[in-house]
Amino acid sequence: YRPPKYRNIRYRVPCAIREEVLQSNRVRRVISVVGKETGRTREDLTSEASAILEEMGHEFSETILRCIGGLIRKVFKQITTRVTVHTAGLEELRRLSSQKPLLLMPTHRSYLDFLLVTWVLYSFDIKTPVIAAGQDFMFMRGVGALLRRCGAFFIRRSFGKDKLYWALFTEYTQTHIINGDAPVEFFIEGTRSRTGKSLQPKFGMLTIALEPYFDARVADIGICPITLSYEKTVEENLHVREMMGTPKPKESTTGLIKARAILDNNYGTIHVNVGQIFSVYEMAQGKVDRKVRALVPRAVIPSVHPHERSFVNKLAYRVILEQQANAVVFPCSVLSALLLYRVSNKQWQIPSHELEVDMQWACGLLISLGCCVSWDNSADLAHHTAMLAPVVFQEEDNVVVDKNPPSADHLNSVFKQCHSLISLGRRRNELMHAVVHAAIIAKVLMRPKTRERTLMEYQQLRDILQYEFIFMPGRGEADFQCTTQQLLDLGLLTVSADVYKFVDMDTRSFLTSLLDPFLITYIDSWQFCISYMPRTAQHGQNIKSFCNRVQTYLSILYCEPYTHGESVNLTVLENSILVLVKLGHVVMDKTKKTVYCCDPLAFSNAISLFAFTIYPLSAKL
Amino acid sequence: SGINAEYGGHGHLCEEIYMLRSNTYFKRIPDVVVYPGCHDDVVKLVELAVKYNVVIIPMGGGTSVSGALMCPEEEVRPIASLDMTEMNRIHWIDPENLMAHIESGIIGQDLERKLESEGYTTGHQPDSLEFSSLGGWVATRASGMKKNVYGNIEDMVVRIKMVTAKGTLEKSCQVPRISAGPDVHEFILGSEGTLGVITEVTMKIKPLPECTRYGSAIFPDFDKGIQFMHAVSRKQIYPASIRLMDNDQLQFGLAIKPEKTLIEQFTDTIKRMYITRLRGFNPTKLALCTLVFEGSTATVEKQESEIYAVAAEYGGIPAGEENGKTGYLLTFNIAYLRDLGMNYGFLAESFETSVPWDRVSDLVKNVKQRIIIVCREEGVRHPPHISSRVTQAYDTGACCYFYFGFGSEGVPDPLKAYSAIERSAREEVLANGGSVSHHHGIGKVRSDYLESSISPVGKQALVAIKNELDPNNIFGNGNLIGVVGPSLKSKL
Repeated sequence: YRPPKYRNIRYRVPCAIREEVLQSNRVRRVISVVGKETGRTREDLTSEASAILEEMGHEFSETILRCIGGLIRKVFKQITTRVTVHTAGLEELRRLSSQKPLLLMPTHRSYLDFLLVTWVLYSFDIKTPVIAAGQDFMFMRGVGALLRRCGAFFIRRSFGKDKLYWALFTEYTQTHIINGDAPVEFFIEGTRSRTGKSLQPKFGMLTIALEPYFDARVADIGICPITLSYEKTVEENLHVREMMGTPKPKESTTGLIKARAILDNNYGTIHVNVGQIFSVYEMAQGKVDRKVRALVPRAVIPSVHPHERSFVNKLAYRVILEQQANAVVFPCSVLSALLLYRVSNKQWQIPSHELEVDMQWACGLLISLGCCVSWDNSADLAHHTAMLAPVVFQEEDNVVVDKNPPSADHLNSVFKQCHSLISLGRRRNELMHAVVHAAIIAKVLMRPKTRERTLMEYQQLRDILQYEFIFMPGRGEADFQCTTQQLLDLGLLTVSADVYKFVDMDTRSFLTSLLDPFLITYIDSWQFCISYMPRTAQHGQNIKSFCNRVQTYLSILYCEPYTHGESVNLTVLENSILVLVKLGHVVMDKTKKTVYCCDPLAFSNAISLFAFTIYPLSAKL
Repeated sequence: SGINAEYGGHGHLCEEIYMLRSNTYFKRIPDVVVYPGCHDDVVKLVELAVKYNVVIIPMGGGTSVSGALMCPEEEVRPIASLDMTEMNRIHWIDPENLMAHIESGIIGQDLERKLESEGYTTGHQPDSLEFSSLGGWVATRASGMKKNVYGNIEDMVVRIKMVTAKGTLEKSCQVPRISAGPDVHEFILGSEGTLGVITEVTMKIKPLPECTRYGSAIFPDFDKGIQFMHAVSRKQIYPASIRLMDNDQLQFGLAIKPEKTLIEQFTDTIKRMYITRLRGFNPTKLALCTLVFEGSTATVEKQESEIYAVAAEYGGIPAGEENGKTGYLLTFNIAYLRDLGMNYGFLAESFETSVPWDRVSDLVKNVKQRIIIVCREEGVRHPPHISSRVTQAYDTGACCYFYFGFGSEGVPDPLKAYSAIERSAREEVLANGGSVSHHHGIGKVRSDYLESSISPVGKQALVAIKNELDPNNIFGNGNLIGVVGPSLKSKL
């Protein structure tokens, strides 16, 4: 293992890095500022800073990495069928690793993500990253220390306005980028996505990481989006439970040992795809003027300029969209979508041969829409069904969706069958990024409409679903143009006299079935809001507990039979409220996270108008 | 005279030399070359030029590296090149007040030789000393190697005579300082021939120093050397010259060092072993600081001991007088070397900037990296040569000097590639908080960056001065603020 080194690197051991951070301008300044504010002495604050750094810092050791490398290899060999990697991308990554500091931004679906990235880079002789990790792991006896030695550094989940912590964390991250000790890895989504879809990007860490470029400490930074596509994630069951409201179990070493059962399962294939490596210099041309910062001396802590902030925001979306573009969709996700489609038509048992035909068709459709499906034209239904176990099983010639899966034993009867549906929904979500634009257009074109009207309604739906899926802000019309052209080329859409018509009914109902669960849940949730959301600020209710109320309400509303799991999926419910905040119908207190709605009348008018455009024929409304 | 005219139409920019050598003709050259003999000749010539609407481009030594002498392509009026080199007399030397009154066409080395024979020096020693002229120094805001003792050109001039289209601009007294509104010298200095012709200059002179001594110190790496220079500036121990060469430039310098005798080679080996084996310096990282001390023997000795004490604090080791001397050799040889390089398709240029201390290290690193990246993008096959030195120390910052060059073999349009690389290097400099130029000036190649450097209002002010002093754009060389005023109208 002799990876190429960044050309401007100065060799430093981990404790020297911490020492330099402690001696840095930023930290010394902040210590004196905090000292003045709180009256604490410099020595006192310095020793606190030193302790924080001890707690935060990594202890990267190449020797440990070599030992662990073999172990990780064994684990992956045990639990997966195979791990495939995108070698051309990794070669490019290795080439660039000596040219410029790099940020690695993998998708985050599983605890395994950072082991996987580190291991793949190690195997390809690329400098393994230092990783910004949540502190949850730190408290795991033994494991925390081990991860530290593999390059993990730990950040408190929330440190609000703690200036000292903020300065230390900023400096610690930036010094790695400026000196290029190692690539810096962090998750643009901030946390593991439980839903199978990409989460909305977080900007804070990216801003910190790009500041060395804005401040001309480095000539360029390379940003490398990495997509990890799991055929089945290890934590699937836990994620489904969390979406229904069971809190995440605390990470602990005993928990890990208990979970060794995962070693006995097969989690199928993992694809590691390295996306296009962005050059921040090239992307910032004409958008960020570094000269502005040159007027502030280095001794003064710089502030982030609005043009830098908007650049970071756009870039964050670009990264996620690039991750999505490189995602591999597994046939079992397509199978989930098809099963959910049948379930929504109250069919819980589906003949295998029908599904095989459907799979062929649906995978073909997805591929033609530009989605990368790992489909080899032979429906190995047994394998795909096994990947959806335990909520789906094969019985004679039927594939059955379990209304009462063993993994949902702990739940009360109301939620039991939802468990299967949310689990399948989670797998379906893995393909949503590829079809969401087409699905919105299909939804809008339930009947033919003029181009102008189609676009307007597309924009409207896009706005409403902005927390559910990733849309590049301000690219509505371009995306619309692009997707309609694609659908026209495929012959799914026709246009005559400026009127769009969706001509392929099978495709349309399949596409809309992907979106309906979300839209129905939103409308249902909003109806509850009209009646029950607090009216004034002082009665404002915490958004999480309000969502729990919505969940209870919807679970009673639907009791039997469930056709989609989203109505009790807390992440969807929360998004439905957040979008109301975004659209200005609901007010949210940023610090207390409480919500209220002062004008339910105007709000209810807006909703019924929307509901009518979406469901003109819906019996339920 | 055709050769003279062509000579009058270029400086020493890489593009200009490349075009000359590759038989690409300049689109426009002067129509006539005039050699005025004294101030009054110039006054008459300018009057005639105004009368007949002839463009005047003043020229001194012709060592510009900013495209300042190129004739604007779109100019349709006749162009007269005013070659000032016949005006090379020293009118008087004033040993009482330590001033000399000199005609502007005098070439640096002649001026120094003449003053030396009288026991004086101006102390102005730019790298182009062999060819550049006094008038050119004033017109471009030149800087000399020994500015720490003698100052830059703006610190040396006492009085300037400039012939403009509206008459001669000069101060009526010869005093060390005057409070009479904004100093008119300030817009003559750096006017790059756009406002008039500088004919005579009264300059400060100094008695020849009692003692001149070279020195040098090596540092484990460039950053340590920068910290050392910064410390020297903070302590205000300024030797006449202090420069820090990075490793690339050091190796380049060593490559052209004169050959050695066997014994010298032997002692060199011993020295090298001491530095690399005993002191643990990495020969591919170490940086060389070269020093010139000037003044009374006592001052020089005091400065020497102070400097080497500071150097030791930053891991520096004294490396002898010889290495110091060799360091300065490269400075004067570089222009000749470039011509040699062009024989082999190697295009090279130097550029410079000034920057606050806290950004020196990052600027050098980033500019180097940018050049390497752009070279690859432009299809340059081999890694380019890019080396730098910190060449002047000021209280608040430093001047950084770069040499860059690349083999143009296989590059479809070497000049296009060259200017793309040059541009992105300049933009990187600006983004890093560097100035558009420390002493090379704006000329034509950097005029795009003037407005962002001095704000639109600042540029308008310069344009206003130009329009007032030269309404018919007689001094229409198009430098600095670009082509302004009625030059294009007047052809109709």
